Amino acid sequence: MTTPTSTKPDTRPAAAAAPGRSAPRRWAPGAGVLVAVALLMFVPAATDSFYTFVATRMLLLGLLATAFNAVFGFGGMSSLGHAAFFGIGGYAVGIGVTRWDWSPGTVLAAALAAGALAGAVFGLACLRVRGIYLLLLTLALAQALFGLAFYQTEWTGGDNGIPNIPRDGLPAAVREGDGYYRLTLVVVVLCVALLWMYQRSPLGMSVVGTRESESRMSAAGYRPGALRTVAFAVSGAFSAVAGVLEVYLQGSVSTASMSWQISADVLVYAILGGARHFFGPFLGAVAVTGLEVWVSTYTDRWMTVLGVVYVVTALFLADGVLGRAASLLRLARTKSGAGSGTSAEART
Amino acid sequence: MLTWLTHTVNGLAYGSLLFLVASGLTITFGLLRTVNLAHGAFYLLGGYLAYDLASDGTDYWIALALAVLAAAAMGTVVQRAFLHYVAGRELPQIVLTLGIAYIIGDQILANYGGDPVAPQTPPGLEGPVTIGDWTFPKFRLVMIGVAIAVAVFAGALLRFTPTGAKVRAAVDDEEIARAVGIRVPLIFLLVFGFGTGLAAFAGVWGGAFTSLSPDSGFDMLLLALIVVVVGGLGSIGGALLAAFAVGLIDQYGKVWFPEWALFTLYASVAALLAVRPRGLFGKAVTR
Amino acid sequence: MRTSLRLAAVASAAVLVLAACGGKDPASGKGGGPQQNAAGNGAKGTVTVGLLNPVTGPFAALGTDVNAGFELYLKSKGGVLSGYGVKTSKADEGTDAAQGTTKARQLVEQDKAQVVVGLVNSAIAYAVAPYLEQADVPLLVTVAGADGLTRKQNGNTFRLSYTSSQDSMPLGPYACKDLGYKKAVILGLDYSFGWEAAGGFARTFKDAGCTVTKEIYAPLGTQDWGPYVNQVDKDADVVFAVAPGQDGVRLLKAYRDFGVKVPVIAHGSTVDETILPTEGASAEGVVSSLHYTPQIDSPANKELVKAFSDANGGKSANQYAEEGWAAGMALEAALAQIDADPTPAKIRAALAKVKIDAPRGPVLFDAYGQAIYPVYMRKVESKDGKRVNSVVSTVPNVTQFFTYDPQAYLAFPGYDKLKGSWAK
Repeated sequence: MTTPTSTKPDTRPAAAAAPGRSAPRRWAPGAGVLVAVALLMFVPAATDSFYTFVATRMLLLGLLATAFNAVFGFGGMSSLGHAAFFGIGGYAVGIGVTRWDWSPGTVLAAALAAGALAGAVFGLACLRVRGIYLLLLTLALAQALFGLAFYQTEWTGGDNGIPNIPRDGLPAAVREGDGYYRLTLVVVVLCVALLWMYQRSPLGMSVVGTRESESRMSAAGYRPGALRTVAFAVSGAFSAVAGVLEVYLQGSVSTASMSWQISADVLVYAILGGARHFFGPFLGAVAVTGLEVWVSTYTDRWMTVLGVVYVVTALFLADGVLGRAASLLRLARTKSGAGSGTSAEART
Repeated sequence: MLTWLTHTVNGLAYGSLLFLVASGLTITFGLLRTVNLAHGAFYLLGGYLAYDLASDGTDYWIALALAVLAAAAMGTVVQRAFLHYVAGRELPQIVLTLGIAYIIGDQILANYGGDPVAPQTPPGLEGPVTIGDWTFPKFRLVMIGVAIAVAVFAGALLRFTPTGAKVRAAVDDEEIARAVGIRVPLIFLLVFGFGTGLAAFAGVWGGAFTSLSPDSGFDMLLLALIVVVVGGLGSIGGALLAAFAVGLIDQYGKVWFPEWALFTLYASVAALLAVRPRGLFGKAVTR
Repeated sequence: MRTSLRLAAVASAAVLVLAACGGKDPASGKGGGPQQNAAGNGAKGTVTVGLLNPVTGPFAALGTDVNAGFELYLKSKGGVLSGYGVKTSKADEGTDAAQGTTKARQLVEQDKAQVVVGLVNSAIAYAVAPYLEQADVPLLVTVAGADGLTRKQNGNTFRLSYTSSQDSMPLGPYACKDLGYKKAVILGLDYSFGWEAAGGFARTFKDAGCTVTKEIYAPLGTQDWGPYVNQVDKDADVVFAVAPGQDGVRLLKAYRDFGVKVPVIAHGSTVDETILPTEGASAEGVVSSLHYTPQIDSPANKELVKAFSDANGGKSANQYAEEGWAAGMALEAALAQIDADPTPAKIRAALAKVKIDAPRGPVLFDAYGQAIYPVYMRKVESKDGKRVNSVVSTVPNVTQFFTYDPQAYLAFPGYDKLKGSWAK
């Protein structure tokens, strides 16, 4: 992939390699994730309340990035409009709770439904569009929704947004601080697990198939258009959940939750972490969020530092941190085991 | 009656500004397949440099020329040092140019502060011109002419000059172009420098039109993207027509239903793209 | 392998170049360490102040000036206010509520700020204020204007700057009666601040017996105001304009370019000193109302004007610098009432009783925590080759309710709902 002219970098789906693995190596990642989740339960105990807050945001942005990747990394469609879904989830909380006194369960259901619906609309609108045009079309759609949110002040409060959203509906134990962190962790783990299962399901695999070769999938009797729409709907629904978590955390929602910068940020999370790997985008979200908080503590020029990180990412980590790590690992393995010929690692 | 004439001509003038920004973007995209989100940053860079030089007492036209050349030079550096290595890969290009846009915007904020600045109106073009009962700003009227001139000039450059022929050859089939001795990397470098130079020129003139602040780069970028996409990526004529169309729609939209202006603009662009994915005049990409 | 070596070489060169660019940062001294300064030695102890203002994004200029105003006042007092050494901890409010609340929490939970000063963006203020209330940390707002922030009696939030409608309300009767304009057109920015500022003017202008004939609103970040200035009726007596920052520059430029002859009056932020040099001749003659202008002739103001100009290379002081400066004074006056152990409850009680002679004039807080202060009618004039806002008239003791009964005023529908109804 290092040749500058190659248009498609590593196109091998990470998931597709799984059947070739031996049993212990297949279970190792799963066990690792379990251990990681168990450790994450102790974050509030190990750090102060501020870091717990930051960790909460990392988790929900991680979910956003993972949901985004269902379209981006696995669906092969570069969206620049995911702020729309995130914002829809946020406004589901803001409008639902302040107007109709919705319970968190109702909010969640509404956000899932609205996110899925918006995702399906995006997917349908993008049926004929590929590559850069898809990027710009999703941007235009999200900006149109932003325009709606900005001017329908009756509903959204416009740029000032909806302040003081009550959290009374949540059980007292998880309403704020450490409790809310644990609630977020549970919801995020659940959603990520569902996304994992979706990605491994025949449905998710066939979406990957359309990414690889639309014509073959269509010849095999699949309907790529429908598959793409489904991918967008799934992605939209879980992105909206991330928005719900964010707004319950902040207690307010405004048009800033729908600004195109969020769409750009999440794209960078995915690329930086490694879009070909299920956990790559999550890792990217955690890394960038942490970096922002850390650097801005020391200098006002944190935007410049962020810019440098973006440039370095594009030049050296086009496959993401995980992609880089995986290729280094492969390199090390081929060197050490050059004689034994590990054919399972060969690319097809 | 005269009011409508004013609205129409002003729509065209605003469209001309959009075209000046979009022209560089459509050239770098259409010819290099480079998605340059730093385009707005080069717009800012040109405007601020010219403003800086002119306020130090440099002659306006010299300041303009220096700002455009400096931005073009910086554009070629960015192309050679960074974009060159991610040629043909859209996603890294987006991340890279976004990063460069952040850096340039933040450095402008650090060096010039956040208060808005306005490069001066070109000498001789200040104030309104009056024809009968009709009054219109001279500068805006000239802007329409300049936009058309830039479109003709850039179009002719590509179509009728040997360099233009080389550029087209390099774009159509890079390998063959290399084989027949065209120095493709050099060509790409020139084209990118030309594109960023155009952005800087738009910044100097557009800055006089709308003033500049470290954040206005992204505002202009989004509008320019719309124009480029509607016109069809890579089509200069398409961009000009699209810019005029967007300018007029924007103008009349603001007069008729101002509260829906933001929504209607983006929604109609989205609808157009969903139906005509290549925009109005875009060629099918043979890749 | 060769490719990646070359890549590495080029990129490291690039990073060096970028680092060199970064080195030009004139704000040096800020970078390279946590943004805190040590407390001066106070006899009564120390107080930690969290300064939460934007230093990036569209409001960076405003936030930087507020910070500078506060720090300059602190410096003039040797870092000690009323016997307390003041330790400041600065954070970037940023551009959205997510960053704003993150930084507010960092100031409170890590830096242990005992009072937070700042906030420019109203959406962020709406998100941060409830958090600070819950965390029991008093908040002193210095710019954010949303009317709704100071509507609760004996709350945790105090505001030295205007509510969006407060400064434009005195302009209504002044324009109608003193200036004799009978028919006004409103030309404003289409967002909360614009509606509230325009609504405040429209309400008092109509109640004084004059009429609003048209309302024109343009979206935030409008590049070209041509379509809007061309909708101004030629037979109107006056245009009331409200568009702070870059939008104000564009509005006035388009207004003059198209040769519209109707006189302009404005909310003061449309022609404040941060944009006046850029507006230049296009602002000449504009009458506006605001609680501050550097032209105020008082010793307190002259001290600020000189200190700010000296520290910022000749840049003129402005309302934002004054608000930061006044925040220092208010804090000093509050701490003077506290003998030891400044608990949040003590600070709140003391702030409520604060009376200061700020550069703008006498300031105190109403029961809702909103500042009461004089509002100046100012006119843009040329003086010593520079354009300034000269004082033409003063309205003392303006509250957020102006001359209306607070209960009646609070019962009015919000300005976002009234927008569009003034001309009917």
